[in-house]
Amino acid sequence: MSIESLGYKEWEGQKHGRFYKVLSLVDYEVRHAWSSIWVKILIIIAWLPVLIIFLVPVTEISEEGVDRAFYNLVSFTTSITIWLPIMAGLIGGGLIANDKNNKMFSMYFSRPLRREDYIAGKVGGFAVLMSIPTIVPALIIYIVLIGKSDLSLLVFIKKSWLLGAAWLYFILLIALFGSLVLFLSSVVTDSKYAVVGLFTIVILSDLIANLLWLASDNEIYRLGSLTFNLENILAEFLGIDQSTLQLADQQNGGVGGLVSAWKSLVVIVGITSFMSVLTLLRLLSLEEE
Amino acid sequence: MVENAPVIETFRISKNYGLVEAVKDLTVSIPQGGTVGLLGPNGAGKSTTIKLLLGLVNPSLGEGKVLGMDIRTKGLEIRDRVGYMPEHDCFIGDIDAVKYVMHLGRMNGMSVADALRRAHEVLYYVGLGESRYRKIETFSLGMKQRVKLAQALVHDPELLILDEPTTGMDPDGRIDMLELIKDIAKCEDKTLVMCSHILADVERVCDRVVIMNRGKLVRTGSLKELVEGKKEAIILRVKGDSNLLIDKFEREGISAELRDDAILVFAGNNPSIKKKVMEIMAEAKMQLRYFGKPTASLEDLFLSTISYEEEAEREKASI
Ligand SMILES: Nc1ncnc2c1ncn2[C@@H]1O[C@H](COP(=O)(O)OP(=O)(O)OP(=O)(O)O)[C@@H](O)[C@H]1O
Ligand SMILES: [Mg+2]
Repeated sequence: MSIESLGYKEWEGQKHGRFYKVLSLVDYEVRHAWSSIWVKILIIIAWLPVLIIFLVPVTEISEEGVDRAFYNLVSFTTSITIWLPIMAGLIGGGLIANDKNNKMFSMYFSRPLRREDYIAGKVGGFAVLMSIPTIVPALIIYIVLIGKSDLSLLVFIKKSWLLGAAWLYFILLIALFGSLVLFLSSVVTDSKYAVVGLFTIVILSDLIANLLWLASDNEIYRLGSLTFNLENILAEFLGIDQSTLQLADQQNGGVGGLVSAWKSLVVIVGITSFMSVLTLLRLLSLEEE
Repeated sequence: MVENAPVIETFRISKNYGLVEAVKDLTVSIPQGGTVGLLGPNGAGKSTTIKLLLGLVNPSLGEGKVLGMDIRTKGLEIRDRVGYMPEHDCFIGDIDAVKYVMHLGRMNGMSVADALRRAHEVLYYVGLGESRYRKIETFSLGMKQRVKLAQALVHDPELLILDEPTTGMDPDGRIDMLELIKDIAKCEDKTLVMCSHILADVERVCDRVVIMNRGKLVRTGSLKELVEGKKEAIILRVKGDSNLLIDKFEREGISAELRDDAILVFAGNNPSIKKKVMEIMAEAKMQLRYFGKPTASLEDLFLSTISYEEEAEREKASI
């Protein structure tokens, strides 16, 4: 078709505001990530417990076995801690690094798009993607448990704090890994380095903290390990001891022993806040090119 | 908007990057309609000027308005009504052209349906109708340039800024691109700014030029005026103080300026000017070394202005 025959057409229509643009960016990022086969595989793995709970008969559960039933839900949530960094790296590593590499900043910011809104869109996309294998299946497992068991609804309402706690734990995890991976993504030139960086941080922090702890015999050094802190929080607030995948012995004060889970929480929230501010500052100062 | 209010207006804007003065004391005014060529060699400050106009970087000094809005404070509002085609490649390689243009349209606030329909439309318009479902990473250089033009047009902007739109294109592709630009310029309410260091391109599509070098404005005016004006000019080389002579010319109402070691006298359409020039020279008892007409292509004008600039810089440095 020749150009001349068509001619330039003008366009007239309504333009939406900033909130719409943020949502559009979230929508785009979710679809784009979803087109990756690895993301699909990881999400399917995360949904396996949901399938299992559909298959396993839970109608037999007695009132006494109710904790056991919830253990299904909760053991699923704990398994998240292990591969959630993988997922975060895979999804978050390229979020900013790819735009930087592709010089997409000049495409985005030569439009009426605020930097804050760009950041909100990226964070939103990340949060939505990360909640697909965490928050959503946890809810489904919980609902399936109610539907399949003969227990009265009252028992489930009484136990619903477990679901709430699991969700809070997920939000904490998503925020922590999100802030770390987005910062890494904004400084590296290739998304692979962001993934590698995230793992290095997780593994190194654990290694160094444990070495210091063993060398000095001072429990406080354990707070330097990300995984320890997460397990400690999980044990205290959800009653799950991840290292043995059993319900934690509450009398022993979770896995932390002498180290209070509140201290772990402060460390995790502190790291998350610090990394978020760093990422924000970094993104606001990045050049267009 | 007020009839003929300038679309772009800057007053002595400067932009420094550390010690580099990317744009220096630039004052330009570009009226609505038509195509303006922003011309200058590498590092002249063209791209920086565009970023200033889009409100992407703040000027170190000076003021500017685009579409009547302050470039320091109204960047978002300006960018809402401007389309920008960057000079370098900026693509998401693993999505197709329709998705890409549509996504960027949505970043302009267009609804999904509008952005999608418009993406098809502009991709057809730039000649990518057949390839619009192909991933951009499989595109040739020329096709990529077309996608970049398409994304700049998706929201139908009033002002279109094109940074080196023909780089990397073969001769046929270049002509196509320039024809597209000419076609867009037919819309009376649109103004186009085309950055280039390729004179032939500018001559082909632009009706006005702004020539920059080393961050400074060298010349501005309608292409016709500049080229024609030069055609009507006289070049003089004299023994003695050229500046003194220029003063004398100007006192007689003849506009003249120093170019390299020569004096450029603008004659306009006045045939008696030659005689007058001779009279003044005789009066001043200046010895004439050269008297002639300059050649009159844009390239010549460009080269002479640029080399004049460079000479002046060198002189300044040696002092
Ligand atoms: N972000 C930056 N930081 C430091 N210096 C810069 C930056 N951007 C531009 N410059 C410098 O400013 C000057 C003008 O650059 P600019 O890109 O505006 O030139 P240009 O006319 O577009 O050149 P070209 O034809 O090569 O595209 C150059 O000396 C360049 O090195
Ligand atoms: Mg440039």
